[in-house]
Amino acid sequence: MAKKAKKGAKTEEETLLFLQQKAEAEERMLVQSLKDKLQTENTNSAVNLLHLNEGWRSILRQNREAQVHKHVNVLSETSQTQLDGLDHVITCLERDLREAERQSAQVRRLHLQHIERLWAQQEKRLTVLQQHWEKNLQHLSAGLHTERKQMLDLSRQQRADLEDAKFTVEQQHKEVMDEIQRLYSQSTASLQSDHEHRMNALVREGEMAMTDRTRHHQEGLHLHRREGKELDELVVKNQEYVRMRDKSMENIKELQDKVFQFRVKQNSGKAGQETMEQDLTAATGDVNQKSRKLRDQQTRDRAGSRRRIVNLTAQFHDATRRLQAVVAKGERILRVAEMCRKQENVFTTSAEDDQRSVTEEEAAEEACEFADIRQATRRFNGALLQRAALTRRREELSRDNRQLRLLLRQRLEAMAASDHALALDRPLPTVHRAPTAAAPPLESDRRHGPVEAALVVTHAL
Amino acid sequence: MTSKSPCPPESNLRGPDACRNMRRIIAEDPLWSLAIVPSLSDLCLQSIVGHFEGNPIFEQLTPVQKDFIQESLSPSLPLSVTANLIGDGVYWRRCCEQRWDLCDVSNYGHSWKRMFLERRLQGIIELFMPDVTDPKTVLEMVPHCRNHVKRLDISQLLPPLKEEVEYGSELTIDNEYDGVSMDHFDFGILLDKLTGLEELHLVYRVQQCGLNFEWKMFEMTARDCESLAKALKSCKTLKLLRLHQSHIEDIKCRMLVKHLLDHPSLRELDFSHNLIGDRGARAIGKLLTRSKLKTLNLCDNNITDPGAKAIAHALSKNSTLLSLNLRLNRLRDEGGQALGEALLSNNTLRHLHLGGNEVTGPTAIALSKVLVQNSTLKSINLSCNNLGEDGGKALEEAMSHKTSITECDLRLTEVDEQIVSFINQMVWANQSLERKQQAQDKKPSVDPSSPSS
Repeated sequence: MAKKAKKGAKTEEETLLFLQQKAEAEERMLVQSLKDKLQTENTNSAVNLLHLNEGWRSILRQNREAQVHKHVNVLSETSQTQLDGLDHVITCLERDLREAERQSAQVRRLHLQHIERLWAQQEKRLTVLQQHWEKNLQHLSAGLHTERKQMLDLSRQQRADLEDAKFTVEQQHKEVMDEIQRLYSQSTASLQSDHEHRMNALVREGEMAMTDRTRHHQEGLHLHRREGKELDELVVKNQEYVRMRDKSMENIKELQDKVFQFRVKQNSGKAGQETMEQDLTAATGDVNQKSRKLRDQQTRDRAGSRRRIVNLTAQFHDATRRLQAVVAKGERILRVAEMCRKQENVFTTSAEDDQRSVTEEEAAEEACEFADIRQATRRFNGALLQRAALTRRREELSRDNRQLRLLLRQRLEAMAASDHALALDRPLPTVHRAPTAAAPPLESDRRHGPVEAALVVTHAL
Repeated sequence: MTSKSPCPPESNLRGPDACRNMRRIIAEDPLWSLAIVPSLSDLCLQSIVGHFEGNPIFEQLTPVQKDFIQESLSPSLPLSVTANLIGDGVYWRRCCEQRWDLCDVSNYGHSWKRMFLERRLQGIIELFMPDVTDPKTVLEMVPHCRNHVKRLDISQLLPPLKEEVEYGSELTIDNEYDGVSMDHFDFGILLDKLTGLEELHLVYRVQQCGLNFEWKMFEMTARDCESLAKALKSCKTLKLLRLHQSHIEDIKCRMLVKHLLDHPSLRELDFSHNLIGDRGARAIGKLLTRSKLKTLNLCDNNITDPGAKAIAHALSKNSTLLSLNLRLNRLRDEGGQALGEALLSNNTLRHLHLGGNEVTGPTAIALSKVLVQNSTLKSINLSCNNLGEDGGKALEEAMSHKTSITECDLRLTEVDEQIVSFINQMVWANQSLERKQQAQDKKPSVDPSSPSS
């Protein structure tokens, strides 16, 4: 039953579709017909339009013909005149152009000619200058060449001359050098021998002098020592004398007191005056004897001292003389040494100039000799110094001598005076100091002390 | 002017009397001095100088006196008196320097007299106005300068004065007949009388025309040409003729050449900067065969191929021409090639100038063939021609052979730089060879002891 329903539906659908299709076909037909109609209408309208335009144009043409003709004429005339004008302008320009071309050609030609002329002149000038320059160059080179030649010849000549001169000078030089060498060798030999001799003699002398001097020194030293000892003894003696004097002073004082006492006693008791006086006289006699003894002693001592002084002075003189001799010798030795040194120097310098190898040994020998000489010189220097010292000492000793002499004189005077006075006032002897000599220099100051003390003492007395 | 006191210095001691007696004398002659009384001979010489015109005494004097007179003679004396009497020297120098500012005597063979006379004559001719100036002014100069004038370099020739154009036509017809007798100075009256003239330079132009410029002033007319040609023929000693920039066309050229044929002494011809065309060139070719020209200058004319061919034809037969200048013409390749072929058979030409002739490659190729073969051609100038690559290569190939070229100008020829440099190298090599050869030729005459530079 369903299939039949469906088949029925299908046939209904088919009829519907068929109907629709029919309707559409009809519509289409209608549309088509309408379009055709429209088209025909359009064409008709276009045709009508064209007709209308044509008609309008012909009418317009007919109206405007005359006007247009006139315009055309006018325009053609004006264009013609313009053309004529332009043609004229063109011809004028052409003419001007030709003129200008001609002028420019003229100008260019003239310019070309001028340039060529200037160029020719420049060339001419350049060639002239070049010729001038080359001429000058040749001239200069020729001149220089000749000069060079001259210079070469001159130089060659001069060189030849120089060689000749050089040769002669060399010859002379050789001769002179040989002579010089000969002389030099001679002189050096002689000088060396002399030198050696002198050196030996000097050395010997020096040695002898040295030994003498040493001996003298030693003797002097001995003498000095002895005199020193004597001086000490004398000093001691002086001191003793001083002590003795003091003692005697004291004794004197005591005696005086005693005298006073005696006087008193005398005054008080005249009875025992004579004995007392005898005692006194005995005492005074004793005292006088003592004083006389002391005086004798003193005189003896003085004489001894004077003798010693004299001896010393003589010895000193001898010593000084010897010293002077030694000094002289030493100076001589020094001078000789200096000479030796100078000669040595000369020798060394001359040795250096001539033959160093030969004189090296000589220099060594001389050095050894010079060492001895140096020792000798050192000794000489020492001797000189000692001489100086000795002179100083001598001076001092002489000074002391003088002082002592003065003192001695004073003392003698005083003694002379006191001899008279001693009888009464001064019974006590004055102690004279023996002038000391050859005392060590260091005690010189101290020596003055006792001397001055003695003076003071005597004066005080 | 000198002012000198007449009294010697010692006179100052005299006092007020001396001051009164002292006067200042101002002498106009610097040589005058009161102390030195001029000698009688000096006075005589001064009077001679003063009256030289009337009584020219010169020959009888001693050289010292002659020098004095030359120093003091007035330069404005007429030439009739002085020209034949006073020889070359200071007087003529003074005349020159008085008249002209620039005096370069080396251009005149170091002769002041020649300079003065030549320049004087040139001046007269240059200022000669036809029909106004009397020709006698020229002619009376002639006997004085005959012996000394060797060159005339005339730089202007005045045209006749332009008469006012009358409006009456009858009169104009009359005027045409009674026109000017000569358009410019007629050389016929002069050239045959100048017996020593060797060079003649002419330009038909006016200097300093100002606002009166006309092209006619720069043109030579036919009548002038005729008279000049006849005059040139009559001058038998002329060696150089230079007629440039005078608007000479073929006709005038032919006329001139016609009269110059077989001229006995003409050696140099210069028609440069004119308007000579082919016919004129043909005439000149004929002249080449019938005279002994050594130098021909046709620079800046209108010669084209036919003219060149004519000249080339003459060249092939010629044996005297040494230098040919065809610069700034319009020879083009045909003319150039013709010349090249002619040169193959010519062996006297030394200098050839073909600059600016619109010549291109083929001409260069033709000339290169000549270079290989020819041994007398020394200088060749092809500047301002568009030779191009082919031309350049041909020339390079030619120069690689042993040639005698010592000058080769290839400026503005569009030839390759390398080629130009190569050619230049070859040219320099040739130059040095030539110099060595010259030095060797000179050597035997040089003293062997002196060094060579």
